[in-house]
Amino acid sequence: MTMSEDARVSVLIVDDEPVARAGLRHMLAEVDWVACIGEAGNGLAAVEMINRLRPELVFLDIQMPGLLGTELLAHLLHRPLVVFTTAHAEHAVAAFEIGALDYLLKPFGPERLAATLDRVRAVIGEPLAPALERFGEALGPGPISRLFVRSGRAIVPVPVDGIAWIEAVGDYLALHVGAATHLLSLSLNRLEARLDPQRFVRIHRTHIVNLDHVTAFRRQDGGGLVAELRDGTVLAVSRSKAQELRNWAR
Amino acid sequence: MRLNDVPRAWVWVPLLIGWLPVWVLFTVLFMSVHQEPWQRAAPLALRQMFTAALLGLLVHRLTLRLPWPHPFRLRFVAIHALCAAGYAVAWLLFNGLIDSIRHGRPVLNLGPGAVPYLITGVWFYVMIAGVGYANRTAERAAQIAMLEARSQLAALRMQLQPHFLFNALHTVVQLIPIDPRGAVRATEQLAGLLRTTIEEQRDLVPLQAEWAFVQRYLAIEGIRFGERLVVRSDIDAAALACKLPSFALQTLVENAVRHAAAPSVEPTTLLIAARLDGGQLCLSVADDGPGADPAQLERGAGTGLRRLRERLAWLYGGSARLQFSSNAPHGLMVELSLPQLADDDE
Repeated sequence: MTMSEDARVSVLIVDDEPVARAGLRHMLAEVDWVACIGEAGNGLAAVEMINRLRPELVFLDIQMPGLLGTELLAHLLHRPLVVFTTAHAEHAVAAFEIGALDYLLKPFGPERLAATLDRVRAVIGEPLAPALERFGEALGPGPISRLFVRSGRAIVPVPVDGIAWIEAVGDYLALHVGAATHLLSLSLNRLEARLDPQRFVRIHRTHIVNLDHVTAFRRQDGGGLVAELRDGTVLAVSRSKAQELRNWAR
Repeated sequence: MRLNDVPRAWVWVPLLIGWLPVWVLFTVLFMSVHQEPWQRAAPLALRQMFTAALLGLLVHRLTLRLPWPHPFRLRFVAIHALCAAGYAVAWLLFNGLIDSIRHGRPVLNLGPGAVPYLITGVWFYVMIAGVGYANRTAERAAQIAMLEARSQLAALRMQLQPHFLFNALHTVVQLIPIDPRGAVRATEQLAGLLRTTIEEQRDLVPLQAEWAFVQRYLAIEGIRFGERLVVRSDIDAAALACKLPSFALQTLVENAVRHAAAPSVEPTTLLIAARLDGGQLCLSVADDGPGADPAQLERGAGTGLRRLRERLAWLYGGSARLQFSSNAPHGLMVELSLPQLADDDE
């Protein structure tokens, strides 16, 4: 299975120590669903790069020349997810107060980093690691942008924009993306709750459809309503949902 | 450590006990040499003890202001010789003043003659100053023992501050997959630093050992800071055998790394120099970082510098100098000059 470059989560590394940057880049290179798009060695350079490159996730050292990591956030036009990395435990409370996703105390290695990346996945995608179920609920109604699908030992990010429709198959969900189908262990109810309701509509007990991929809703001879998708798929709409859609159309 | 926990009134008790035998001695002296009856000799001796003791308070103050120099200085002897002469004359005049008041007219009773009188005054001076310095020495020994105990912990804290130790450990962890050999080297350097920090018991160490320690420290900071830290050194080979307080140079270098290199985006150059100049070990650490107000550093500095200054005061009396100055065009220069003791206190 191939993965488009832009489906990965873009990451910027900010640290004044070259070895710390190289080490983090090395660890992130082992994670197939993130893409490191740059490094900054001081606070001022970091502000410029975050505003220009608009990464989704920033690993941010706190003690840096130029501008402290915690001060830097005030200068951002683009607000990424922030994970602080520091040897100082005493900044943790302040860091979470200003909305840090996580706080990595140096020294840290790949295992601690993996726990942080689980949190990142929880914020921008589904499914969650079991330990993060409650964390995911606490994140509130913000819709997710990706689903993370297992492929062998890899985790593949699937942007929700590309999903035409989602089908419940037993305990699994089948994501239909172009010609490909990904299987995901998740309930349709849970996923529905975390998708953007303006675009993803539950049209059936077992189907969610992406309105961006629907060419038409058509009434059939038998009186039932169907959704016709761009790829030619025709999906049945349940009677109760058909009524809701009719109300929408008015 | 000082007498803070003793009620103030009790401070006078040993002073009175100390003067009591002197009073008895003088009474007996007046009785036997001048054939005075004890009824006259005792009050006379008491009056003279009183004036000597009152003026002695000033001598005591002087011993506080003028610490015993290490190494010994002739200047110290000269100052005390002058003060002793001054004390003797003042004592003589003070006694005369009291006699004059008692008799209601000017009286200057020179007793056995001016010279023996003044010699007795000098004798008092030496006794009071001697007791003062003996006290200082006992206090100093206690203080050094305490400072030593504290400086071990402090040295640990100084070198093992989270900003250094945890970052150094992080560097090692990050190097493991990227550059295993480098990781091993860095671990060895770090272990060497920790070992010295934990095991160093000596108050004074040869510059050679201190410099080796500082180089290990700089090697680790060099990995962390990369191109942002440039270190140049000018260590005179003749100075390597000189003694300095353990971790003294380390304190200065660490200070420069923390306050000059760490906050600077641009590379910072440290120039570390040591030379032997007229029996003094002169150390200097100069940086081209943002700099600081030297006057403010003289008044109060961070814990590292403050502790260094305390140790210098106790180890060298007033003979060691720690000076701050601005480094052109910007940055700070710290100079430390230490007198070299004769190499027999090993």
